[in-house]
Amino acid sequence: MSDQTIGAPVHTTRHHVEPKDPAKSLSQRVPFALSRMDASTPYWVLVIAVVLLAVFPFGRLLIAAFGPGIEPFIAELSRSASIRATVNTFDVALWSSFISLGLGGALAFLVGATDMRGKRAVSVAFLLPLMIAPQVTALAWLQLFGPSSALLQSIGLAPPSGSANPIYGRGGIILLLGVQHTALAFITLRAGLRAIPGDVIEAARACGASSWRAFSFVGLPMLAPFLAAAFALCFVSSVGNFGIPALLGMPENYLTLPTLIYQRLASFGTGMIPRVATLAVLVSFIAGIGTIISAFVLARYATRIEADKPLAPFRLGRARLPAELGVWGLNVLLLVAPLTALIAASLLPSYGMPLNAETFTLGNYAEVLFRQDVTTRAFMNSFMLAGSAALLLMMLSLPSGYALSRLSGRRRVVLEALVETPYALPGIVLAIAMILLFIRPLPLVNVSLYGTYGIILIAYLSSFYVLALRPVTAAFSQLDPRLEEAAAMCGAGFWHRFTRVLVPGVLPAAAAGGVLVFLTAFNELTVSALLWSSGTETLGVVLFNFEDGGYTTLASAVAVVTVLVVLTLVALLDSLAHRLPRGTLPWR
Amino acid sequence: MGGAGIHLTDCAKTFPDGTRALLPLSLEIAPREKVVILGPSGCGKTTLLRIIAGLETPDLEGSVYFDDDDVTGLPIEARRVGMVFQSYALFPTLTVAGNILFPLRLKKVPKEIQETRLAQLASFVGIEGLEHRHIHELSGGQKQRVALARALAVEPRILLLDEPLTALDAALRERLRAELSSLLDQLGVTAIYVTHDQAEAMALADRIVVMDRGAIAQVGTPFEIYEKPASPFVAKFIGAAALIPAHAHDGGIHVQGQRIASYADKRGDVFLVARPEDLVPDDEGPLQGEVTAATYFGDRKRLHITLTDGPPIIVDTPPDTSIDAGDTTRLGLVNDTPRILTP
Ligand SMILES: Nc1ncnc2c1ncn2[C@@H]1O[C@H](COP(=O)(O)OP(=O)(O)O)[C@@H](O)[C@H]1O
Ligand SMILES: [Mg+2]
Repeated sequence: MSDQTIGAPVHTTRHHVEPKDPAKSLSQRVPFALSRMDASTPYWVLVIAVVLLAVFPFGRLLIAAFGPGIEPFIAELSRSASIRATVNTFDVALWSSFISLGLGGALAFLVGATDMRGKRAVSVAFLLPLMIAPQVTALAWLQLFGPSSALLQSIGLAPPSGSANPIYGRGGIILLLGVQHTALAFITLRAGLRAIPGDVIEAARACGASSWRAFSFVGLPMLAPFLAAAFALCFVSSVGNFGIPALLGMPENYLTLPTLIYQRLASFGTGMIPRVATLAVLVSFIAGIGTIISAFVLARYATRIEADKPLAPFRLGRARLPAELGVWGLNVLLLVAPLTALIAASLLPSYGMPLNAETFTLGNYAEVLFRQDVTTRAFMNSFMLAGSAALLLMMLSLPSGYALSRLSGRRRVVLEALVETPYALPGIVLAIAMILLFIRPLPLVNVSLYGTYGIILIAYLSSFYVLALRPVTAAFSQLDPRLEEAAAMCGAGFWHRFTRVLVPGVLPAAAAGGVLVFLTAFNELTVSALLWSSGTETLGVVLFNFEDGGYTTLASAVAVVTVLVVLTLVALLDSLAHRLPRGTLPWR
Repeated sequence: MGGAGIHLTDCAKTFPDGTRALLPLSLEIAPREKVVILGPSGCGKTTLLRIIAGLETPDLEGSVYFDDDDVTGLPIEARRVGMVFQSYALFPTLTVAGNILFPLRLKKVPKEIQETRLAQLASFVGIEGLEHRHIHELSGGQKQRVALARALAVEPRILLLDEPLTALDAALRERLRAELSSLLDQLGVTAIYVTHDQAEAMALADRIVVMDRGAIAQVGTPFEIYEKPASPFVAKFIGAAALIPAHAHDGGIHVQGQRIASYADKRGDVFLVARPEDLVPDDEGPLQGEVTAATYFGDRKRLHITLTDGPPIIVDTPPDTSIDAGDTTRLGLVNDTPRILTP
C-alpha cells in the first residue's frame, strides 16, 4: 500500500468488502419486535400518546358542548347562576392575582435585586406553598382564623365563639388564592430580574440617573413582559382552582365556575353532564386565553434567559434589617402560622377545644392512619394512583421526550401545545372530559371504567404527562447529538443507541419528572373529587369530605400527613438537583 | 467639551470574595489626554476603569480626584463621566433617539435643545437617519456608535471606554478604530480606553498604561513602550518579543560568547529584545537556530526558530525565502543598536 497517500480516501477493488448495514447486523441480536424499532418509533409513540391523552378528551368535551348546536350553549351561559359564577371567578381571580403580583414582586425584588441576606432561605420558604395542596392551605387558614382557633386560643386572641369565620367567602378566597400563587409570581419575576443586564442599569446611572431612577426608567420596562406573564399565570391558576373556593366558598354558597360545576354534578348526577360541559368549555376558554397570553409574551419579549452580567444589588442601607424582618414576618404570617394552626388542630380531641397539656392527643393520627378504613384506603389509593402515574409517565416520557427533542418547527410547537393543554386547563375541565369519555362502557371490550381506579389513573396520565415530559425533553436536548452519531458510526442500531447511550444520560431527569408527577398527583383534589366513587377515594377527597362533614380534627391530621410526605419528597428531589437540567425543579 | 485631569492615589480593590483585583496604584492623567489601559484579560483593567467611573469604590486608603474635586465617595451619576460599555448596554426598550437623549431627558432639557443635540450627535458619530430605529434593528457597528453618542450626550468631563470594539468582527474593528481615533481627537475630552489589543492601543493612545496582575507594569508613549519596555512582561506582551539572555562587557553585547553589537551603557547579564522584525537570516550572523515551523502569509514568511541553547523566537522574512521547517539557519541583527532590557 506504499502508493497510497496518507489521509486521502482510497478505494481499491482488491480490498473492497461488502459494507455491513449496522442496523441489519444488530437486528440479528435483538428480538424480532425490537428489531422493527427505528428512529421513527419514538415519534409515533409521542403522536399516539398525544392523541390519546390530549386530543381525545378535549375533542369529546368540545363535541358535547357544541354538538347540539350553539343555542343550548348560549342558553346555559345566560342562566343567572352561570353568570354569577363567571363574575365571581373573574372577581376572585383578578384581585388574587394582584395580591400575588404585589407580594411576589416585592419578594422577587428583594431577593433578585438587593443586598438582603439569607436569599436562598427566603426563596425556599416562599416557594413551599407551591408544594402544598390548595385544600390544605384552605384548611390551615380556617384553623388559624376560626373562632375556636386552637392557636389563637392558646395566646388568648381568638375571636368570640359563635362569630363567623372571617376566612369564609369572597375575601378569604381572594386572600388565599393570592397567597397560594405568590410563588408563581415570585419565580416568574425573579427570572425577569435575572434577564436585566447589570450594565444597562449602570449605563443609565452614567447618564445621570440615581439607582432607583435607573431601575424604574430602564429596568421596569424590561420587566414588563414578565409582569404580564406572571399576572396571566396567577390569573389562570386562580380561575381553575377548586380546593380553595370549595372549602371557603361552597359553605356560604359563594360559587366560582369550578365549584358550580362540582355542585351541579354532585347534586344532580351525571344527567347534568351536557350542561356542565358547556361551563367546562367556558372555564377552558378563560384559562386558555390567559395561558396563551403568558406563553406568547414570554416567548416574544423575554427571549434572553439570563443576562451575562447580573444586576448589581441595590444597597438597602438602613432599610435592610427592617426589610429582612418584614420578609420573615410575612412568611410566618402566610406559611408558618397557618401550618402551626393546622398542626394544633390535628392534636385536639375535638374541634374548638384549646390546646394544652391535658387536651393534647395523637388520637387523630391513630384514627386516620390505622383505624378508619376510609383513610387507610385513601392513603393506599393515593400512593398507588400517584405511583402508577409516575412510573407509567416516566416510561412514556423516554421515547416521546426523545422524539420531541429531535423535532423542530411547526410540528414541535403543535405537539408541545397539545401536551401542555390538559395540564394548563383546570382539573375540573379534565374531569368532565374524562366522564364524557368513559361514562359508557368502552366499545369492543364492553368494560366500563367509570367509577374505577382506571378513570382516575387515565386522568392523571393526561393531566401530568407534561410534567414528566418536560425535564426529559430538556435532558435529551442537552445531550451532545454527536454522542448519538458516534454510536451510530460504531455500528449501533437505533434501539441499541437509545437504550445504551441516550437513556442513561437522561435517567436523572426522568426520575425527577416521575417524582414531580407523584407530588402533584398525591396533592391533587380537583380531578378525583369528580371521579371518585366508594372505594377509590383519594387523600384529597377524604380531606374534603371530613371537613365538609365537620370532622375538622381528622381532616387536619390527614393534611399534616400529606404535607410531611410531600416535604420529604421535595427534600429528596432537591438533593438530586445538581444532576438535573436547569429549570426542572419549580422551586429552584 | 473640556476635560478634567485625573489623579488616582493608592487605589486598590479587594472584592468581597477576597479577590485582589487591583494592588495599590497611583496614576496621573492630564486634561484632554487620551490614555489607553492595556493588558491581558483579567489583569484588572475594567476594575480600574470602574473605579474611575464611580461604579466601584477603591479600598479605604485610595482616593480619586477629577482636577481638584475629590470624587472618591461620589457615585457614577454624580461624576459626569461618559461611559461606553463592551456590551454596548443600550436600553432595549427605547429607540436610538431615546437612548441618546436619555441623559438630557433626565435633566428635563427643553425639547428644542434636545432636537439640536440629537442632530449634532447623530451626525458626529455617523448615524443620521437611524434615530427612530429600535435597538434590535441595528448592526453591531451602529450600536457601538449609538453607545458613543449616548456617552457624549452627558457632556462628560471624562470619557471612559471599556473594550468598545472587542465585540465587533476584525475588519469592522479596524475601520472603527481609525474613526474613533479621529473622533477622540476632535472632541478634546479626557479619554480612557481599555483594551487587550496592542494595535488598538498604539493607534489611539497619547500614553499607554500597561497592566499586569493588578499592578501597573509601565506607563509611557506608544514609542517608549515599544522601544524601551521596562520589564520582560511588557516586552513579551507588546510586539511578541522573545528575550534572549545576553551579557554586556567590554563595550559590547555578547550572546553565547559571540559579540553581536556594541553597547556601553551597562555591564552584566541583560536580555536582548528580539521581535519578529529584529532578526534576519544571515549566513555570517552571530546566532544559530533550527526552524521548527514556517508559515507563508503572502506579504512575509514567518519562521519559528529555536535558538541553539536559547529560547524559541519568531523571525519574519521576505515571502520568497527558501528556508523551511527542519532547516538550520544563522541569524543576524537588522539594526546595529539592539534593544536591551536589563533585568
Ligand atoms: N465583582 C467581582 N467580584 C470578584 N472578583 C471580581 C469581580 N470583578 C472582577 N473580579 C476579578 O478581578 C480580576 C480583574 O478583573 P477585571 O478588572 O474585569 O479584568 P480585565 O478587565 O482586565 O479583564 C479578575 O480576576 C476578575 O475575576
Ligand atoms: Mg474587562
